[in-house]
Amino acid sequence: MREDRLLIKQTLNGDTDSYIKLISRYNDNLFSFIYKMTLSKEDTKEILQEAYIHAYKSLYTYNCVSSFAVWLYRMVANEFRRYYRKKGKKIKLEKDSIDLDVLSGTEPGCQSQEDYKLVIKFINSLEENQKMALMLEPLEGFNYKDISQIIGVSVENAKLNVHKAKAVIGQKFCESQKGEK
Amino acid sequence: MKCSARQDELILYVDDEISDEKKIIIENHIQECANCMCFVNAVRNADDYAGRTIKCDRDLLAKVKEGLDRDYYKKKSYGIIHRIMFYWPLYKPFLAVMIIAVILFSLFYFNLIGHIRRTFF
Repeated sequence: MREDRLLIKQTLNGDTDSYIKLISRYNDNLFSFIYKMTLSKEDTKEILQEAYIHAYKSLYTYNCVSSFAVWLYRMVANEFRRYYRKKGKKIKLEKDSIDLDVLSGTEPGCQSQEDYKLVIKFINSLEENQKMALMLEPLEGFNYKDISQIIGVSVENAKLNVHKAKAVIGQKFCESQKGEK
Repeated sequence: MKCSARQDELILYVDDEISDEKKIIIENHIQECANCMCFVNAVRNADDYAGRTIKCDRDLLAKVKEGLDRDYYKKKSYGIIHRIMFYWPLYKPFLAVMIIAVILFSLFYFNLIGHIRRTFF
């Protein structure tokens, strides 16, 4: 937080390297977030590039109401929506899921890869706000207040979106398992 | 108890947001209930997927750097504007209270109420 403030100060004094350092702190998580939303690397890069440049020009308006992470994520989430509105189409997923080998960490514990892929498929079929809220929850230690500020809904609504998303995934997954048997 | 009625609790269980007492009850329940176990595993997988990071190619930040206007913050004194803007949400209500206090003080101290009454009524 203190380091963010220092980098913001340096950026506002005309140091662009500080700005790159500032956004690189969040870049991988933001890339993961948008990539999971779009399932397209090209779209993700375009969205992030636009959002970062827009955030650079608006940096002087950042205030103490939220952390810099929340502010930047809100910029990116807005750009994500604007990008698809500008294109005049709804998010059209090119494929069911992203390639699992790009994900960090080890393979999911006790679950088979098929089950994991099935869960991802259900995540991708969620409504936009539900999916966004679900994807944001484990990132940067965000709480429901942060999520609500990023996606532009009330705190209650943010909580509801996360819970509803999880309930839908759980239900669909159990139904599919029953269907298999 | 119907399993479908426990969905919210199962989600809170996965998020570790329930009391130890309830946690034990749910742990015992999911050992016997395949449906709830299935639900818990799905939610855990969803959380796991959401929390995983995907490395971004380095060329993105290089492109962003190229696209930045290097002189943008050299043109105006944005540093000063930012310093004022940063704490603006904090001192906005304080400023409003101060303005109201000054108006009320002026009304009474200079007997402006009496003056308005004599002038208009």
